[in-house]
Amino acid sequence: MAEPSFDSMDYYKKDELLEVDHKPPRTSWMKTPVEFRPGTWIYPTKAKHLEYLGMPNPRDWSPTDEDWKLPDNWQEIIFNGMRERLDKYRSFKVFMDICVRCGACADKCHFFIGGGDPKNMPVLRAELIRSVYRKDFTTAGKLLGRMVGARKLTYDVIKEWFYYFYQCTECRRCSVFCPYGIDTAEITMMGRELLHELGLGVNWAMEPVANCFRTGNHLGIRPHGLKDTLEFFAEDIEEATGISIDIPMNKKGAEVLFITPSGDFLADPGTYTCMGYMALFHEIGLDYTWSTYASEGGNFGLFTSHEMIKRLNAKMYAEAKRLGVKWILGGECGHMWRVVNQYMDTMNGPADFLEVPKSPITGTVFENAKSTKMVHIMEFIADLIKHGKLKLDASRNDHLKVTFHDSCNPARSMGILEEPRYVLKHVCNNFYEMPENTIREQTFCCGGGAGLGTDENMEMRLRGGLPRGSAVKHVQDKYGVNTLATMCAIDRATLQTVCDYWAPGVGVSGITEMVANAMIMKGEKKRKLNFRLEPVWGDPDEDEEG
Amino acid sequence: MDYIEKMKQKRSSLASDWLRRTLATYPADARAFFSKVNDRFTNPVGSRLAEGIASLVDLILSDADSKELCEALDPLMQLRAIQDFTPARAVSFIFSFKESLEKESGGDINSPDAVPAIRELNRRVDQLALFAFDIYTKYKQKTYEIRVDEIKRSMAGLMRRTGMFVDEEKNMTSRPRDV
Amino acid sequence: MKFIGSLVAVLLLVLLAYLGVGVAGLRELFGVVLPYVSVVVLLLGIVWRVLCWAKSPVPFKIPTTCGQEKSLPWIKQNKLDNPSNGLQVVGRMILEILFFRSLFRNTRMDFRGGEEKVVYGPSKWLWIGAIAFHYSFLVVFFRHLRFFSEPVPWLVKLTQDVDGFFQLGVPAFYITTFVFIGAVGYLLLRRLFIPQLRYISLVNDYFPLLLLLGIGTTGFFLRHLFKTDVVAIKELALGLVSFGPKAPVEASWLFYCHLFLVCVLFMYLPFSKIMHLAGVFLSPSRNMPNNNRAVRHVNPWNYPVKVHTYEEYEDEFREKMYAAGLPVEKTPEQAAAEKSAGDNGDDASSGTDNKE
Repeated sequence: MAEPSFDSMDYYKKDELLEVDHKPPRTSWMKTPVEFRPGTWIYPTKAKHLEYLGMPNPRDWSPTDEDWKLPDNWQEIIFNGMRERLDKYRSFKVFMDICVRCGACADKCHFFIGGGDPKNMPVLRAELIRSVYRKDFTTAGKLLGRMVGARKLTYDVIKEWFYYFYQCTECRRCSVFCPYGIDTAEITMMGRELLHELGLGVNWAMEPVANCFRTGNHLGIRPHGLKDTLEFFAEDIEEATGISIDIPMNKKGAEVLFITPSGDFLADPGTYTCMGYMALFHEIGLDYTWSTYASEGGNFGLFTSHEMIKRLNAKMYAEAKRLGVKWILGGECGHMWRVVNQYMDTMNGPADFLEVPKSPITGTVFENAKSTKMVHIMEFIADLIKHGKLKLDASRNDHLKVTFHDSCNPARSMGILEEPRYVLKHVCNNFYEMPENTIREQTFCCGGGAGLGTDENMEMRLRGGLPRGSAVKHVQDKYGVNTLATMCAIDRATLQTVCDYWAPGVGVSGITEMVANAMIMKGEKKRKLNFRLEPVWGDPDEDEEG
Repeated sequence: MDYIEKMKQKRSSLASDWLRRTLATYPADARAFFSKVNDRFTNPVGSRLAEGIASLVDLILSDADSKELCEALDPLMQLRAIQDFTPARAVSFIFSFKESLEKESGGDINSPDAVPAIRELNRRVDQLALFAFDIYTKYKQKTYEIRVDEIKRSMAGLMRRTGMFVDEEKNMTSRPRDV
Repeated sequence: MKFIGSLVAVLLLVLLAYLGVGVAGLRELFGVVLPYVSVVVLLLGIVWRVLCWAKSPVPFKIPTTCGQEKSLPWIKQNKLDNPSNGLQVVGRMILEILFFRSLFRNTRMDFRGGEEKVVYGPSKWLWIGAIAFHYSFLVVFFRHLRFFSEPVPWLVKLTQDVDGFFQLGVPAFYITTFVFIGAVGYLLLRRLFIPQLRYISLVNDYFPLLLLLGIGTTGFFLRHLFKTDVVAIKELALGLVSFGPKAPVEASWLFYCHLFLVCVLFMYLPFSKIMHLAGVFLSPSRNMPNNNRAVRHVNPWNYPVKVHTYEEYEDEFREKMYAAGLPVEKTPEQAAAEKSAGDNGDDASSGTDNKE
């Protein structure tokens, strides 16, 4: 038979082949195994880091291997691990039992919204564990099996867990919409703890954990390196403002210990936020100190296990005690504040050797932090502005059209929503909110939190970043927004990438960076350079007038 | 009335049929969610696909120039470049326009000018597919670029501090922003 | 498949009731024994399940915050979505339990007409369905108290009158009957027709809905289609509550079927997802105040962990710190002197593992 020519209608039936090809197979989720495609998964932890931390089953392996070199009794380890956690966490136990699968959470996950993989629906992500729970811990599951959503723990289940629990950024957006408050972050944390018992983790989270344990910060900057870094920032500050500033480090008897995520020491644009802190503290004459031992605000233990949170977090209070400070001030960070707000005091407190935080500049007592004794930099700055203690020229930021991204943890694990907006509105004149259902408690994740912010899973991150990216693009098109302000170190690293893809032309900035740029410092020279040393207020080569 | 004019009148059913075929490239269980195009922010995939396809239908039928076609195609390929597709699958949805055209033609297929018109439309669709492949590649390229940029940024502070370099360019990515 | 299985299960239950009462005449079993057993199972089951949950401690205070927290005095706190004390938590729980606050959050942005605005349309269907179902169920349940009390309390009567307000049909149709059946039907249909919901639904989801639908339909038939001896049923009900029961021979098998399905529901409830009615009270992300930084939460199993102490840290980096001019606890000389002194005894600088 002759081939039909392209202008004959018969031609079209030929490409049924394509049609068949591009329709994904329809199988029940339990029968759909995971495929590890490049761009979606994260490199596993290197053996040396697990060894250093004394964690189980250190070895080198790859998710694409058939054999993941699990211990022989891996099923028993998971079973015992689940039983232990069911007995220790009411959250885990209740969340295993009460989900009615109403589907309210289904379309709330940024990974599902951007990619459409059904196992990224929060309800199904939880079912990955719940199905095993039913089989091992409920009578109905033992008797009726698949009919009631129970399944045996197989090798494929473990692979599935690894794939999908590292496709959850623990952002808690689904938890906001759940009628029972079921928190997928909590379930993901349990899933990851169980995986770690078998030696399954991702290097992008565990290398920082090992570094932090040893050097005090995720990046592994050694003490003299940190001193160098801050001195270098001071030089840049002097170049921009003409003011030479001090860098108090490991200073005993200072009033305040300042801790911020180490991402701000090396990665742009976080570095400028760090310079912002230094300039601000100099300007208000705060008696504070940096610490090299507690040189990390972030805590990748949160992405590992509860025990690891505690092991890394212990440094904050220990260092505050050693240095004899009165209270602790924390920088702009997301998950750091989840740890500080929800875990620190319980795990490593009570901090009875510290005093209830009181701003030495305004005299404000931070009653809301009277037990933890740690204050958020935005609370601190908002209070300074409210009392008129900062001389601000918001017009210096007139070249910026700003929108604000609520970071997941400050929004949904703490509720610090107004302070950053109050500060932003005082340091810039062009501020525009993104659409209502993408901000505050409904904010969309950057797609790179909870240990996912590496580069080998870029496709997955960009899928997850699409909802945030769309909202940014909208305000960019509508108001000409060119700056996305955010108070999270991971956001500053990952959202720039998300913007470069989904809303090119929008830059990311920390809030304190903008504060410091708007701040008129005592004795400053005629400002031409901002803290990025960009000539935004005039040509620096031009001679001073008069 | 000639064939293309008749198709223009059926543009909305043509677009919805094409959209349905495009959505069929996604997992069955996400299709319903994506096809519920009510919110650009909470369902960016669905709204992008729907808006993009609707404008592409108009452009194909009106013999738009390549610039207009590419502009309409861009957001679709930007999306599909980072979703779970092989390059062929990512572009495949373009060709399903031909199937939609056949389905929506109905009796008009017998009108005297149908054969040359269909030949012309097919040529445009093929052209579109080539553009789609170009844009797909552009965005794939872009994911690699931003991946490198991110790594550079993550070490920017370190590189500047070494003071080894004569060029004190602060932004390590010398590419202009909007490219 | 899961739906068919559930449907078959419910139909089998109906058949069982028919065979048991209609054929074998086991009225005592279905009218007396099973109701008692099911109530005992229900009550003990719920208590057992709640105790089971309560046995696990709440190690951390992990509320999901959905609004501005209590911070500086001049910043307005969102007391119901981000409570900072017990009273506000009660407020949040009331909103959650009585009004399904979280389900109500579903909003969407509308773009028609160029300007975006929030709309509350179809995205509220689940909320409406859930509210309609739960409240009509409550009213239906409450109405049934008229069988169990003599005289009938005025509130029950009032509910009955309001519910039958339209006075249509003899006996009058209750509004809630239709709302109940309609809402259960809606909840069932969305599971069947929304693909992503069908994907996640289990027998555990279809069975209770079909069971409720069975109860609702048999109840409707009893009232409106088949003449039922209400007096005899009331006699049985009063007998049951006064612990002197006797099964009414006159009542049809359909009545026993209705009763049997309710008994099954009671016995199934404690072991199913319907326990969310108790579980929601125990959900740590909703029932705790977000006053973490002001009031310390105690973890009953908090245990010491291996940490990296400052001493270990300084031992590793002392030389560099000293050379860089950073303050140290011991200068390299002091440390060296101590080390040589310590070499005679145990190496004191290693091992700070204080794990229990």
